Amino acid sequence: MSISKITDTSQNNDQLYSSLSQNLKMIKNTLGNSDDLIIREITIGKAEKYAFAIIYVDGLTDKISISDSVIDKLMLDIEASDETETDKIIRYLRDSCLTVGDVNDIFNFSTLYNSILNGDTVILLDESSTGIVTSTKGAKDRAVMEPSTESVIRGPRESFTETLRTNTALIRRKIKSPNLWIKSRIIGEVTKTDVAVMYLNDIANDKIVAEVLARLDRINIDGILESGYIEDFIQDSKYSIFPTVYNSERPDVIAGEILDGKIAILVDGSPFVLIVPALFTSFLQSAEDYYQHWMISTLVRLLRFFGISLALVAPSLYVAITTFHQEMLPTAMLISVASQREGVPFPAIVEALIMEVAFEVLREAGLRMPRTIGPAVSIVGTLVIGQAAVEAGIVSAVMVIIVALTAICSFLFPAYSLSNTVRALRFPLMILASILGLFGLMFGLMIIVLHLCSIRTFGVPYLSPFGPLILKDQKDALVLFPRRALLTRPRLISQKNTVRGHKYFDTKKRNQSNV
Amino acid sequence: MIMTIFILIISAVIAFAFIPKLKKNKETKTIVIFSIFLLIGAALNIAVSLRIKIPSPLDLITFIFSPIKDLIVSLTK
Amino acid sequence: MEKEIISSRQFMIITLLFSIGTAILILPASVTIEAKQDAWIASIIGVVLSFPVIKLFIAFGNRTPTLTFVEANEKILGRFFGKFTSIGFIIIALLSAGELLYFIGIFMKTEIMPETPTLAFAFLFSIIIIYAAFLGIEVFARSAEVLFPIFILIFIFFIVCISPSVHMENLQPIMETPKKSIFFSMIRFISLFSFPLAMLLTIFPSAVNVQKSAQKGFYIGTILGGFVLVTIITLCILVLGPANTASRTFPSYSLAQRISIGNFLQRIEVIMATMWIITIYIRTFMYFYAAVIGIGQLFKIKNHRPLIFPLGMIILGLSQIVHPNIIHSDIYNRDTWPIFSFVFMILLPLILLIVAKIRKINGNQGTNTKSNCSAQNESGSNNGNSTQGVGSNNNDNSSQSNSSSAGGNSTQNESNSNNDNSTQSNSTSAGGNTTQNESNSNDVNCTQNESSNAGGNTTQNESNSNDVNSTQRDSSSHSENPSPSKSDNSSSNTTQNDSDTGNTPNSDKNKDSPES
Repeated sequence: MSISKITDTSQNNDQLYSSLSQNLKMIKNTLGNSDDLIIREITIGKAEKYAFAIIYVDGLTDKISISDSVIDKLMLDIEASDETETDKIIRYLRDSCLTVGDVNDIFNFSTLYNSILNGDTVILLDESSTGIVTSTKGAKDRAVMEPSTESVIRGPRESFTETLRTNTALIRRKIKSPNLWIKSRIIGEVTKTDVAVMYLNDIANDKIVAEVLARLDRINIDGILESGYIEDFIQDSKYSIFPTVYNSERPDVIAGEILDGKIAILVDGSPFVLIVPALFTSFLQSAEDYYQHWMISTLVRLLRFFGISLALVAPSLYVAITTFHQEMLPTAMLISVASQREGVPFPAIVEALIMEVAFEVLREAGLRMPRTIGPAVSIVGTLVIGQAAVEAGIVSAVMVIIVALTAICSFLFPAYSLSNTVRALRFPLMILASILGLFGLMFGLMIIVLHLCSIRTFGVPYLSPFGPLILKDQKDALVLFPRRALLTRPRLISQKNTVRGHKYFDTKKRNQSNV
Repeated sequence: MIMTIFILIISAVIAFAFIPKLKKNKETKTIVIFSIFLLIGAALNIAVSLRIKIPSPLDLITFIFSPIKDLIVSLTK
Repeated sequence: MEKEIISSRQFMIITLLFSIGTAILILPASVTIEAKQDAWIASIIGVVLSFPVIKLFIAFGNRTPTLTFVEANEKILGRFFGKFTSIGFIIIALLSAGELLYFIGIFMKTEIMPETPTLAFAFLFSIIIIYAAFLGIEVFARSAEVLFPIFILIFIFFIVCISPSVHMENLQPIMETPKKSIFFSMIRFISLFSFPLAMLLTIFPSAVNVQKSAQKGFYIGTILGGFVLVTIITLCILVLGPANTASRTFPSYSLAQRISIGNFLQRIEVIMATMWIITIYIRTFMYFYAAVIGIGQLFKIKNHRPLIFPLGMIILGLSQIVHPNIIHSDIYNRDTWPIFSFVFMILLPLILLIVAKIRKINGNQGTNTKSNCSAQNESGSNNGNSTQGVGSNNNDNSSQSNSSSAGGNSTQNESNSNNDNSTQSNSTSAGGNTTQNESNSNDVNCTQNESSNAGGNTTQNESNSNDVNSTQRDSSSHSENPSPSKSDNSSSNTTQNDSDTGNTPNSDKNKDSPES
């Protein structure tokens, strides 16, 4: 059970006192007499000899479990015991009496605080400096619902919740292999957040697992509120705008990545689970690709790739071509563009910047709006304002079209993190294109390519399988081959066990089984 | 004029970016070579920006190799 | 400086794009001036004549497999003369890098954006080169690998689009030009196409992980590069005609301007220009990198990174003064460059090779250099084949490995860099292959060590490629059965090379931990 793994501190005053009243006073003082701290003192046993205290925090615990399994058993069954010594009582309680699933001894205050703040119940006995902690976690958590950010047409509709245990269970339900191991850590001095690392032992690269755990151990911060904090700490490229850690809300996506040999990091309190190492191609793919027909998926992937390239360079291309290389447009189109830009007072770059910034504002505002107003404003915002701007002569119609197209294309990626990067990179490219036309654009793209080539995530080059060209991995990079051809795992990720399993179609076996 | 200042600023930035680290490692030879090249580069660029006529090194190369060239041409004629 | 290695496939791509370089833009004019409509014949002869040139480079590289060109200079000629010739080599590299920056500036200014000063183009381009040099040769090789499909796509698109406009009669009359003209244009072709390949000696033996396939890559890269160039030259003559081609500075650009399909796909020459910018980038980077590494090794500086920035400034300045105008550049390329490049890129390696042979230098305190070694090995001594690899630098050592069945093959590759040390691993069937490559240098060897083991590993190496070595490192394929892995290796030898770049991360990873 994920009780606190903080080992006993060597401070003497951390040990539990023998006297119950002293213990209780200490606890009340440390927690500042908070209202939700419930301390139930009971005296039981023959001649009311034994004084117990049951300590828990209201709201974090499952009250039924406490009253049925703990208090009930304490008050009624202790009678059956003949023990007189306090140690033996404790042991009797722990081993024979309490009917809770997970019972442990505790000896010091820090463990006690960690336990009750995690939702466990602590039982203290007078004249004993040992206590018992029982697992009674039962805080209200969100039900498993549909994912809000990654919806698919076909595929499971579960999404992770904020509770770590629920999330690990969701993954375990998908991968029922005993090789799926979990290693936990507690990160954050003040928040003491549980973080779990899940991986398939026989497939994942041991060195990467060790590296992940080492990096997690090195984190020194007061609070971890979301997996994004962890992402920031364990990333390889601290100054790169490209994400090297993938995150997802869906258990099937995470399970698929684990099967590939990657490592999942779950953070209590966040429904977004991290995957390392994440390559560039991870962000190009969506879970749904694997559930549809492979030809369709290939086309959709190519469409996505094309769309995202468009989102990156379309405004820059417009600026570059209309400013420097007008000869590249077909004549008819050139005339119409020129006539549209006739009345616009700004140069192309200013026009582009105005529209792009306006769109970013609308998008960001649309995220925060209450659900009822949201769609109305976004439709109104983009179409009407765009149309009005054209008629007022502030921007040209072509610009509105390009901005709208870019905006839609930038959401083609299922991975939000890379979309953000692409959106952000649009602006420097626009500026470069306005300075030096297509040469400037090419310069910007070369710098981006060089930068991408230099990123490594946990030792694996970011652009594989394109960077170091691995032909075998091309079957799942930009295009998707039929399921029976996906026989090997990505080579640089999982260096052991690269073959996925048995041959898909074993005719001999089938014939034999028919007999 | 502006370009000259710009070049000087960039040279200073480059110098400050690398020299402290090199000094810490006590690689004096590297520092010397680095500074020499930095000076040459800065001087060259400033001269270019001030439009001072600098003879091309390739002229020198051509001058060195012209006898050989004449020899070969005369051989094949 | 940690050693950076690139795979042989990446090396082939670099060779291909490097050999095309600026030649794709100016060579058609240059060769057509003399040979007129037979320029394509001159080019083909030129490509064929490049083979002995490459053979010279490879032979030279094999003499000193772990040293770059400048280091080899010093080693073979001694410190004084070595430094002298190294300086010459560095000067040609630096001047050429500056010249190429000038070239990109003048090209963009002349054809695409006439109102922009050439300094702007040169400045931006130099930033790309400096950034790439700063990131290192490994990142550069990866970027070349990523840019290569783009180049191929645009090239094929180019060929397909221009083909409708060919006029076959432009090629006639065939072979009527005097032999002397063909000879001269062939000289010009070679001087721009294959002589500069000497720059690759900076990375050729020392930074490539598998020797044998690197050599093959060298040949293949050059052949394919030559093919591209010959195609472009032929197309220029076919479409533009010899007189037109000869009179322009950038005939292939005019070629791109002629593309007109269906009245819609026209005037897209700027997209074609991307193709040339890619090859010019590769070539400029190699020149610059050779100069930086050369200077670093000349003055025995450990870390060459800080030198990148001042040298970048220098080539930027050089680019503005090196040619006052395009005529000067033309004359230089026509008259001086062939001799200049011949001296430092052909004559120098040749002299070095001869001197090295005389002085019996093979990169190791070498005793036997020749295939004597190989003979010894084949005798199949069972125990202690130890000192097999010590002296040998030769390629022919491959046969060595066959012997040594039982254990104790340990010290086979202690000397640095033999190309074929990898194959030596074949022998070690039983254990004890481990210490094969303990000495630095060959990457190939190194990988063998770590695998250490299970008998099956060794047999894998038999197939060509040393590639296998690389994988052996990480995979530590103890568990893997020999047979499946064998098949894997043979099929995907080349690809596994790439895992080198994946493998070195492990060393990087271990370095990463102390960082952050």
